[in-house]
Amino acid sequence: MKAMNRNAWGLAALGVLLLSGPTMAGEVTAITGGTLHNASGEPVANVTVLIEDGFIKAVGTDVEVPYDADVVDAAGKVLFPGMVLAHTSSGVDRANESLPVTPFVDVRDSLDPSSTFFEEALRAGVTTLHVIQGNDTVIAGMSRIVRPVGMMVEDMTVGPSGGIKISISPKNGLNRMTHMATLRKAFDDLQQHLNDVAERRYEEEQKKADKKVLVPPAEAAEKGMEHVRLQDLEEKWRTLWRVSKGEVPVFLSVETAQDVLRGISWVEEHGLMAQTTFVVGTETWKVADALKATGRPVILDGNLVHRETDPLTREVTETFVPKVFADAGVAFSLQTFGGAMGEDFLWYQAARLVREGLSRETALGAITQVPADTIGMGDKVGSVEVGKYGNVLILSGDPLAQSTVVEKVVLEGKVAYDRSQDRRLKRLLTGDDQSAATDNQ
Amino acid sequence: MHKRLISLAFLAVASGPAWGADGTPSKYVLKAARVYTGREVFEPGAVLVVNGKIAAVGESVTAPPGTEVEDLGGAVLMPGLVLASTSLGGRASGDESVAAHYHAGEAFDPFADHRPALLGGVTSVYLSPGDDRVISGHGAVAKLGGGEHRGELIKEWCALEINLGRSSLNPPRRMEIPIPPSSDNPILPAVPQLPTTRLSQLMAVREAFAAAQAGGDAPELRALADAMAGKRLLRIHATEAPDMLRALELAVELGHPAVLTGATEMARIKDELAKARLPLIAEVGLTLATPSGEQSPDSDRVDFDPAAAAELIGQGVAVAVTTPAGGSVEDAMTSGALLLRGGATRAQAVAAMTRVPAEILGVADRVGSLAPGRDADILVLSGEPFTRAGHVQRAYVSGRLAARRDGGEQANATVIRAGRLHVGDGTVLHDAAVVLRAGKILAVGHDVAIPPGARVVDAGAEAVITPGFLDANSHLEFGTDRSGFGLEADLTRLVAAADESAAMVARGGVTTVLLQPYGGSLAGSRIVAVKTGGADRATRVVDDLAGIRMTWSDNADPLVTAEQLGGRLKAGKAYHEQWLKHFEALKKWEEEQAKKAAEGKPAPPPKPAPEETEDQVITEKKVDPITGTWEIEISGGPLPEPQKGELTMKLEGTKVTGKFGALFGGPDGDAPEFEGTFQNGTLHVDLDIGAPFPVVLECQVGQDTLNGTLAFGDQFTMDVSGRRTEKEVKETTTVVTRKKKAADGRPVAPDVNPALEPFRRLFAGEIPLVLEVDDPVATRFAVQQVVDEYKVELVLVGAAGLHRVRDEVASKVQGVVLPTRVVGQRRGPSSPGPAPTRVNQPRSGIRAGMVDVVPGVEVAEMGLRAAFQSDGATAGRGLGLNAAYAVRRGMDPTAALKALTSDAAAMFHVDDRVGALKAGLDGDVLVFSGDPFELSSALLHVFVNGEEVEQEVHQ
Repeated sequence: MKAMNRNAWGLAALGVLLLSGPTMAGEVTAITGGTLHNASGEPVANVTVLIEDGFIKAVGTDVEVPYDADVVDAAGKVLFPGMVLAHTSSGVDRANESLPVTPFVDVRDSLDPSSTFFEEALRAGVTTLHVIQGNDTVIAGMSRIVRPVGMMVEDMTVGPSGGIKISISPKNGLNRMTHMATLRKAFDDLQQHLNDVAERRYEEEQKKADKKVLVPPAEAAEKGMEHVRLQDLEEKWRTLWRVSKGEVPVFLSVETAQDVLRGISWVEEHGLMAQTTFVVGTETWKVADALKATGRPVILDGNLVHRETDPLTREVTETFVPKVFADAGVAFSLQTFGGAMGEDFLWYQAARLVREGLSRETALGAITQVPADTIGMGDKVGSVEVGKYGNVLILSGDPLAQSTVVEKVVLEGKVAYDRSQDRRLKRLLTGDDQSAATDNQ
Repeated sequence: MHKRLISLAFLAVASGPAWGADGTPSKYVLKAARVYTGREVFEPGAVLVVNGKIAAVGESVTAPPGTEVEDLGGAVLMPGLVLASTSLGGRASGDESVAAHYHAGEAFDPFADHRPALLGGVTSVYLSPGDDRVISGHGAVAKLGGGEHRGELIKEWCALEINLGRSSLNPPRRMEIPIPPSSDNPILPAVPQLPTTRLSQLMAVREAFAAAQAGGDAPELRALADAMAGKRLLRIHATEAPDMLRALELAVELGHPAVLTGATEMARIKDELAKARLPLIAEVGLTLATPSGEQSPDSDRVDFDPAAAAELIGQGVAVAVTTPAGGSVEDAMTSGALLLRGGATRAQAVAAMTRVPAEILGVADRVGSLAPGRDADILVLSGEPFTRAGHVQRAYVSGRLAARRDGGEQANATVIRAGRLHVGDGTVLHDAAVVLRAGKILAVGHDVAIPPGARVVDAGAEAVITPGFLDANSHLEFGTDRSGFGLEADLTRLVAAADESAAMVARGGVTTVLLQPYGGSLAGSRIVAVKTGGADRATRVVDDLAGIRMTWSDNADPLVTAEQLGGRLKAGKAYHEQWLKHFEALKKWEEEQAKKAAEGKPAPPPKPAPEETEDQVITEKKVDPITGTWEIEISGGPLPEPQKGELTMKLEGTKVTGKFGALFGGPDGDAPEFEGTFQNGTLHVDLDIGAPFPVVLECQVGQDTLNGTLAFGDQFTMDVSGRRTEKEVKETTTVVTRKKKAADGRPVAPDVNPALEPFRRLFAGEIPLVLEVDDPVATRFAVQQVVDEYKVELVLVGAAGLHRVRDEVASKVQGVVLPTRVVGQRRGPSSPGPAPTRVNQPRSGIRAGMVDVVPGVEVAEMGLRAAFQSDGATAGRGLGLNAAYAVRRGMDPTAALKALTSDAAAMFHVDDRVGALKAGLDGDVLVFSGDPFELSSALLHVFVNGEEVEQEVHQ
């Protein structure tokens, strides 16, 4: 009963926040007068961003605003691309399955549109999220890229892509050798199933051609492999087959340095490198060079500092992880934990990078363009550019300043968030319970 | 095509930094007192390492030019231990009873910092997948990493583990959940697995091997088939004798190379084992007294018997010894020590933990022995392996220094061992050692624990250890500065880092001096206890006030001097009591405050007005101590008989003017006029009489009395004493207004008088009054005044006349600082006692009627504490010789050593820091080559605050 109340409450709030429905053809929005900060390049003052049918049509200082455009005045404000969170297990009812190998599940079935996580994400300026199962798994299910608005999962979904989580670091309860054996066994089992299916398909094809099967089973399986179609496989193996064929991006969880080396070796062995993104733990700074050599993107842990205790002296050494990766020339994304503390805001994580001496471009890139590229959406999100989604944040000041707030979020051309209308925030800040109380009725 | 093997490729990435990156040279020689190679022993020995491999080993090695040679002195070298059973990768956690596909190598972390294990001597380990399944998986061999050095897997899929006995019985049922479940593919009940009894254990193994042979599809069967195809080593684990017998059978039956691991009960079947000649890996741990070590007396199980292992080794069976998997890798050396217990030789024990396990595991071409071509995995030990003193100081892995014992609180420990150790309080320990750490004595005894990494100084059986000596009267920090320092002077301000003078004294064995100014008077000065070593004041100063030093002039009338001394003590006591009163009032006030706070009443706001004040009307007859006319008597020097004269003086501030009406003029008027000074009770006058040398009058001025000397350059000195016959008396009345209480009612502290401050500690019984006095009568007066009247502790200095009043005073003094002259002379006893028969025939060098006196002997006989003094700045370096000479002249050596150490420390109340070799005291230690009182003994080492004082460098 209580839970239901909370859900209803959240939905109501979202309803208010999402000011209008899906974009209609021919709708034009113009954001005028702001100063545009993209991750790369110099800020441009007095910019007009013209968004038509959800996509950016024009960006510039001399853009003519059509007479029928909805004008969002951003004079004196800072425009910033909607931030991209490349890896999160929040917003689902449970981050991890208890079974170790579950390639047949899909995060779609677990996504909770009413989760306040998405509301918080929008408020913090995150407009694209890659929701994926947690690292405590051997092979997890399919992930999904979503926008933080929508009443249904389908409303939230941005494009068809997504990936699968595979973990090299042991799942809770498994030892490393048991974990690796389980991972190997999953692919072995897939292979055996494929052999069975291929053999059957060969027989079917032969039968269709009125020929007899004259070869031994192994050869039949080999010959039948080309006839295997996705629907021939048992449902539980379909995703994994697509993974092994290189059709599904792999997000490989490697929490320690040894896992990175083991993971690289495993990925190479399975020919999956071209589709792999490394989701790394803090200790992996030790093998930043090995990660660099793969040329693949990296998603850093939400905790940016690695602490190590000397076993003899008990002295603790701290390493600022992003600095090592930046120095090694590895492209990395930042992620957050999904709470409401400092580390749970992407801008805060980026600001820490600048504070530790990394370039502003690297820091801003790690919350916009790099994560966009990492989840295969680099041509759609990550910067305010012509042709991309009209995801623009209207900020009160510099994106990395602590005093800056997100005033408006324009999501695919629509104002999806307006701080002045944010009742829940108002209640939090002013203690005024009136507005929230009316929501509850 | 099964993608099963995780290739070695990733380990190539994991290998460590390039040569020289960590400062270890690519070529070097280590020389040591003994080298165990794993096969033989070289004494002395040397190892040449080139590019991480051993290039040569022997009693000596020929090093190519440019090779760094390090002589490790008394250290011992041996190969790094190859620990044949560990669970460093953790234990497999699968359900399968036959789990050949688990590979422990996959759980090895090359990044793990294994320095604690390396310092336990372990450089290579076998990683076991666990023992709780009948076929638990494959093990691997790895070399450990530490610090910057990464670990390395050197043999993957090394051995297949089969476990007989209790551990692998009753595996869990296996359940496979179909996804999605359907009527065609229902969820089936969990399937039980073998073995459930020992009977079915072998059956389960045979079944698995047969299934693998038949080409089973399950990953575990395919892994097993690989093991069979490669005739991989089988590790058959069994701890109890019946299981071990079955293991022998199984080894023959399966036809693989095999090793029996565990083997706890080998004693029960040693004949069978000797016959089978199967290699053994005995997993030997310390059976400590814990509840898990419980065993019924009627149980037929037996504990590991090291004698059986030693016997089998003697019979040529390959026996390796290791800690049990899951045991403490850091303590691996204890397993080898247990083997020694069974009668194995040290070299056999070394082999059983290095070369033999390496051979059994098939990695002997890389590790396990110090032989050309092998990896330079070398341990440097502080002593023989498997002994308490044999701690691993360094561990080289592949030629790189991967771990060394330094840093931490063990860092500066020093162990000094010798044939004899004098505690300082009279106790003597034979074959004993003292352990110093962090400047303090950690332990003393015949048998001490040696902290890992400690520097060990073994001085030999002849050597003797004593506490550092105390010099009861030193002017070390004053050098040649003979100026007077009053009681107000804080002498610690003279103390800085120990200089060469201090080092000179320290090298003579004196580690603590009771620092005090030259000369002295009843005005007194402070005594400070100071170390002769140390880099700053804080470490050097033991006590900023260890006593109050006064000198009783023998020239004056003892009655008068006693009165003066009483005056000093009276003033001091009044001051002390004033403070006591203040503290009492303060305590009361604080209690009241606390009470108020407890009652919850806020402390009353301070009332600024009216301010309570107290008017004190002080009326004093102020008589200045100098002004007036003095009748003086001058005696001694060349004067045939005492001469009288008159002295008129006037005091203004500290300046004294007057006329000297004696010797040089007479009462008729042409007496020389003079100007002088009066400070701290001392009158100092330079008389100008036209002599070619300075004529100086220096007197102690008491109440209307003066005593002192008239020095004619360095020609001669006369004694002067006098009495005031006329004086001016001024009566003054002063009104002192002072606040009675502070604004918040807190009692106001009395004014601090630096000159009287020391008396507070004197009257608190924390320090003694150290009084130089020789005259017997004066001695008696002094004791009466100080001990009887004022009840404070008294230490006598010199005390030449003590023997005459010993019965009255000896029991009342805290001790005697012996005169610097070890042997004195005095007139022989006239009566009673027989008169010397040939009084008029003096022995050479001895005046007639005089006898030799050794004050040290006399004081010791009186049962008093004694202490030696140097009365010089650097003269203290000979203090030990003073004592040796005193012993030569009859002083009890125990008393002499106590006088140099514990007695002196007790007298000055610094025995909580110095003066004995006891745990917790300062690390002040002397090491003599022989008896400390033999003049032939050399002082080999001097430690002050745990730091060795460097020997003098002669250039």
